[in-house]
Amino acid sequence: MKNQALRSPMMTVLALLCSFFSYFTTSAQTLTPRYVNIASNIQGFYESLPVGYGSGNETYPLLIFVHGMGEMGDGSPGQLPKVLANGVPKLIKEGKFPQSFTVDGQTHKFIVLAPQMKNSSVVDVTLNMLIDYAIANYRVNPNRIYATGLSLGGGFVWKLGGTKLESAKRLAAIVPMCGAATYSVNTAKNIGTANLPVWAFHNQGDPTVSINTTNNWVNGVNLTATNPKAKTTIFPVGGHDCWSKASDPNYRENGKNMYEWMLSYSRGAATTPNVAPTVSAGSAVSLVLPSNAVQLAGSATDPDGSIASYAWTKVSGPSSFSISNAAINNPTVSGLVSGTYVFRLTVTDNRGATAYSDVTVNVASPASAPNPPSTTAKYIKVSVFGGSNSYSNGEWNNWNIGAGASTNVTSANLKYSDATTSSVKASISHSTAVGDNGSGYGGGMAPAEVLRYSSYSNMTSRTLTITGLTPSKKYDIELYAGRNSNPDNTTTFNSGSSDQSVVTYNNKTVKAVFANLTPSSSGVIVITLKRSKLYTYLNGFTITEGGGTTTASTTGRAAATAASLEVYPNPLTDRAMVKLNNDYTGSFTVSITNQAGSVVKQVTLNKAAKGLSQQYVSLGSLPKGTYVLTAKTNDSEESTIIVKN
Amino acid sequence: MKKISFLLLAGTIFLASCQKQNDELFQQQEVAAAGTTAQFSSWRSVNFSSSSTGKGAAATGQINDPAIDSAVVAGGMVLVFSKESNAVNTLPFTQASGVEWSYEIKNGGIQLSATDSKALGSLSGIEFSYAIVSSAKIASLEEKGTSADDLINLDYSSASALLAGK
Repeated sequence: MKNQALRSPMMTVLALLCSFFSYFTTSAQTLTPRYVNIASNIQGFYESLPVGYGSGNETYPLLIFVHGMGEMGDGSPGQLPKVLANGVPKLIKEGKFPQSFTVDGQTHKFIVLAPQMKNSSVVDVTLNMLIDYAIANYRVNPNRIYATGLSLGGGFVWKLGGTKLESAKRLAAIVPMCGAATYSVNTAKNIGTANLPVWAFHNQGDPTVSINTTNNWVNGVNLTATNPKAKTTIFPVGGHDCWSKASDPNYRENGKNMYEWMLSYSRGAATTPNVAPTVSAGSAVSLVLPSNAVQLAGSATDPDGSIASYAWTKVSGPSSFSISNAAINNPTVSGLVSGTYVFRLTVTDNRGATAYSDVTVNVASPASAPNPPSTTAKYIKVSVFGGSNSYSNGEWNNWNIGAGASTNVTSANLKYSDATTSSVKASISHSTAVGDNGSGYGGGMAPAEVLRYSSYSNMTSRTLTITGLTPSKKYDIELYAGRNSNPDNTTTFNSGSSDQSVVTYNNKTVKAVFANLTPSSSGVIVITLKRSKLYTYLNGFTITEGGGTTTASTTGRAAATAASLEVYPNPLTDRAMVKLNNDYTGSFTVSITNQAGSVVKQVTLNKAAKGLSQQYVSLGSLPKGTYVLTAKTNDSEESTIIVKN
Repeated sequence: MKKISFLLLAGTIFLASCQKQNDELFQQQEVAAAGTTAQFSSWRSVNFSSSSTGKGAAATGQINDPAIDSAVVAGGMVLVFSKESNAVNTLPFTQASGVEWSYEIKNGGIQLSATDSKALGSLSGIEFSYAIVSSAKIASLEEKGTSADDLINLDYSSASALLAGK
């Protein structure tokens, strides 16, 4: 029989054809390397098409798989094969990836694309570009786009899923496996808002990526997700590799493996009428010159979609103004002059409906004073002093209130920092004792001169009364409260209706600032100190006699000339743009102070011209945390809080 | 044999045409993603003037470009890159040798600054390139998911792809 078949050419051809079709109807999906420039960090990917993909009209679910850190590369023939090491590509390579999945009676076959990521730059954008490419070049069912990834790639999947709301709505489901990405409130919110189905995996004892990462993401998503809630599977084991089990088609929960679970979700085409977005341009703003800039606080939501664009325009008002970025919700308007501006925020949703809201910005000239305001602020700097040796810095008053003064102690006339005598005196109502912080308790934001000695009192409240002030002038007062022991004692300073609290334990960075205070008709300002636990503290204070020309914040010292300091971006990971808008030219320092009050970085920069300039500095060497960035010129100092991620 | 050669040639042409199509497709996508208002300079050398301070050595160099106008300073951004012996870095950064690079953007140009707590070596072999990113461009990128932090930390190749469609 065998010999007869071999002797018959027709039989031989038939046998070969049978073998051919048998192979292609039973073999698993295959992988094909594609060296395509998708974006700067995706130069190549593996393509795996469904068996029988052919040239018909049928569309297929798309599954994007993103590898871990160890498989990163430039997508070249030499590096792309690293992608095959784990997860879905490995399953396909080993013939363990099912040809099809049947969910709810419907059979699906995946188009799988497994890109090789070159770096972590803008991964959500570039992975969306890969999806764009897939839609343009393969027969992708746009309602069934899924993404999964492991470790760093799992983190990329979180970012792809939610960095933009549009992206979250584009995907039908995601499966991050021990995803390594810093939790982002907004990204999680987008995923939840879009009700993007999430199934996250992690090992309980993962030593590489903390299980808290996945827990934070899932909890964050579920703050807004309604249907379905994000689900988590925590394997009760150690090790980083949760993906081998999670991506195994034989691992099922509730009868579905992760692929069948993904396929149980799809995005449907919108059929309901588009509802216009709601928009708020924010509350009315009032400024008094020289303050001439404000950050607008617009916001918008779209009940049935997302906000596609923001556009700020001026409706009315003086011609002098500029907008930092008219296409975001919260730009800064600057260069304002006296008058009333109306700015309009127009938003457009993802389906073209628009809505707008107006906000009024009133800019007033400084109120005229009986005495013309001083063009140069004058300072009275007072250090509480309790030791045997006073400070030699001539700018400072050494106010020796004695040790254990239990009744009012009043200073002599205080001098200005330029050594001229003032009529100002200070009086403290009570001091249990004066504590010595030690000579090593150096200054951060607060001046070093005030930090060594601290008056403390066990009274529920006490008062600092400043007399001899000029009723027609404005004053800024900074107060310092550092103490090198006794944790959790908070001193709350009060002036009028304003309270400012300073946690005094080992605190060298935060001070209380009251701006533009007006003395009573008898030239008195009273500051009340209230305790949270056992004590209130006072190391010293600075009075700025500015005649209403000063500006101040809770973290910035009032300066002789109005200045504007802005740091962008904030939070930041490495580089920062420090924007300064003042008339200063010359060298100045930018100091970074940590929460313990230590200056951890200081750079000297040069401001070449008056007006606005951008200074770029690298802060990549700082550990993650919250810092105070201070820009200090010869005659001014301004600070702002920055967060280093 | 001739037939085989012909088939190989035809196949090569077909594949090359597919690749070309794909390249054009992605270039269009990237330009569309980035908008049209970024300007990317060529590499250029800069003359530095050095000074010695009490805290070490410093040098400053100037790049004049009228395209860096008040609108850019107010709401835009300028990314600066250095190239030395084919090592390309994004400014500002600190070299392994301790030289700290920073820069200022002001109306009309860029002022580069290098400081070192000890002494500065020769800066003549370093070339610089920069990308002027308008506020509209930043907005366009933000809309497409590129955060401010992503943007200011782009390396040269990523910036080229994202901003210039290179």
